[in-house]
Amino acid sequence: MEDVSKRFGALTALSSVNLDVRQGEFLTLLGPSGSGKSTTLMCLAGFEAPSEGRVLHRGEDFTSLSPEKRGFGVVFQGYALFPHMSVAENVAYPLVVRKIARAERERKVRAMLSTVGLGHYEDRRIQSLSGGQQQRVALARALVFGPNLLLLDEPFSALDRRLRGEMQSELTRIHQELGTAFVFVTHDQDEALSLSDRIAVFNKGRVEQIAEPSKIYEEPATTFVAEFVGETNLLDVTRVKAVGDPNLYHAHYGDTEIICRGPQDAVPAPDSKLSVRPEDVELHATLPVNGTQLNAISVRLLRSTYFGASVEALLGDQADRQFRVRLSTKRARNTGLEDGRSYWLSWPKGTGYLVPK
Amino acid sequence: MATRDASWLGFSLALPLPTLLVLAYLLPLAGVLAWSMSTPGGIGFGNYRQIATDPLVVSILLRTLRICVAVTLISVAIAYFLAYHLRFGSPWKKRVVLIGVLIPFWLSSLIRAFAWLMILRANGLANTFLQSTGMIAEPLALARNELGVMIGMTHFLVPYAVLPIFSSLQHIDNRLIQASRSLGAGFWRGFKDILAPLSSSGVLAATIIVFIFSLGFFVTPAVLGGGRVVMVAEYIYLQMFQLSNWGLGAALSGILMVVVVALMLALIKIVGIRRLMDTAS
Ligand SMILES: Nc1ncnc2c1ncn2[C@@H]1O[C@H](COP(=O)(O)OP(=O)(O)OP(=O)(O)O)[C@@H](O)[C@H]1O
Ligand SMILES: [Mg+2]
Repeated sequence: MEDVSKRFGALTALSSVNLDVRQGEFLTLLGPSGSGKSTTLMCLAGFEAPSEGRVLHRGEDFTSLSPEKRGFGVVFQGYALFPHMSVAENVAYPLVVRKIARAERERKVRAMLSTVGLGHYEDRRIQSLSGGQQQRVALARALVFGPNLLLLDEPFSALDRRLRGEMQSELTRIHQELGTAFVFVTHDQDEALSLSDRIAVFNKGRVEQIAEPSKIYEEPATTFVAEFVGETNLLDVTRVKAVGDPNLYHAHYGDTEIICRGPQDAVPAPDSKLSVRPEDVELHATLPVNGTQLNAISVRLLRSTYFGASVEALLGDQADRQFRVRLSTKRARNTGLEDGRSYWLSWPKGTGYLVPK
Repeated sequence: MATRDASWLGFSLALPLPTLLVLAYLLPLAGVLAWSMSTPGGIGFGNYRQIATDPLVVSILLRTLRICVAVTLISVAIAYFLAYHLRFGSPWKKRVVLIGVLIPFWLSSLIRAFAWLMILRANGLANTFLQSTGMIAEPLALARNELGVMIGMTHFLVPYAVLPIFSSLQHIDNRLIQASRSLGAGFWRGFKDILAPLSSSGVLAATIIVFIFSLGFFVTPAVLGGGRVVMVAEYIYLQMFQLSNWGLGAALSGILMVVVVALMLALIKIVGIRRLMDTAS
């Protein structure tokens, strides 16, 4: 996709989106509700025409090509299975339309149904299937004609959590087995991080960052990405300057000196935001002894929330800035959490990331 | 004993409705059927025999059937087109179709019939326009014949056919159409494989409703047919109120009613009474 914009009346759903789907990759479009993920997918599929920009496929201009001529598979939210056809008829439909001979059609349908784990469901009615099974039929139908791109719009949003996990690993397996490129829409960050080769983070119709999951999480390009993907503490830091190491920076948080990571290519502004993930932060009852390895500040515990395996502590410093820290329950018990008490908060030097924008 | 009393109470409370139905419908109906057995020559099936053999009556029945079948098919086809745009069109298109479908409901059939007469007659709007543009030399015979009657009836019936078809289209998820296209089906292919089968019950309901309505048309044929296109309802009226041939009129009414009731039963069987109520509301 090149510079694609889409407006609905006065509303701008997409502004200058550039997206490049690579051969065989699993690309996830991640973003909050209304950020333009579905619109992007519909522009790729051909159901929406971009107001500006072009859609290219292997050098060919697809911008005004009708959906049926693009030959992309689409899995719709809610599956969109044909209620008046059996499982096998649904899956065979794209082959019937393409006038594939009966014997080959049946062979392909059978093979695809067994790939998605529905080997003996050919003659079942759609209404008699569970949500997860319908999902598999929708996948089989969108893949059976061998598209080189599969578009999926929140396919798992209607499934309960256990089934969701099961379908996620199925999807990964099918993706690896077939080698088709997948473009997958979700607003669930865990789903995005665990499934994707790359993630495109959407916000208000713009792509904020496209990168591998680890890069998205560890080196967010914008404060929106840092806050939307995983939890984070955004600290206002001042006097940012590069030190010899291309990855490391020197900065001040209040009066405390801090060593942190930052972007390699561009030096951030002197006043920036530092993203520190809750799981990197430790809480101590007293000033930690190996202080030279740590960035440390003094805080008071405002409240703690119990999550089973972990405890989340909300802390405030003298200037009333708040921090979120995630501790293992065992660790929290050893430290002894008590509302109102003073603690030291620390994270290793060289962790925490300076967000450029 | 207490439950017996309660059920008697319920029964007697429900009594007024069946009583009303018997008094207001079944008794007069029985009366009509009794008339149909009375002929100038005595009691018997003479009227029914006349219906089956009299060339005039047979030709009127055949004309009624011909006009009603044609009007029904044309109305349902037009209604499908309108309902499609009402369901899938742009907001602007939807508004235009909705207004176009609703306005005729507020006009009486008499006014509409005369309005069509103004348009269709020899020196009416349509012919004047076509002649002034030079497309035709002589006025076309658009009114005072079956064509005029069919135009008037179709215009009357289309809105009634739009509603059940629209209701069945409303139940079809737009994503099913998108899915068919993403799977390689063009517009017509998707229409044939997805839209048509999923809206067939609405089309069938519309067909039956419109056909039943069309059988009873009276004013439109009288006005637009100019006395030359007599259909069964008008013929019954003539027999009963102009010629006092009550027996023949009653027998024709009886036959008409049997046909309508049979079609109603078919409709209920096809669509299901619940869906029918949904459609109506
Ligand atoms: N057909 C349409 N007409 C008008 N506005 C639309 C249309 N489709 C989408 N929009 C608007 O465009 C914006 C982007 O919508 P889009 O569906 O792409 O969001 P999304 O990221 O998929 O959100 P969600 O997670 O809720 O599905 C929204 O503000 C939405 O209201
Ligand atoms: Mg969406």
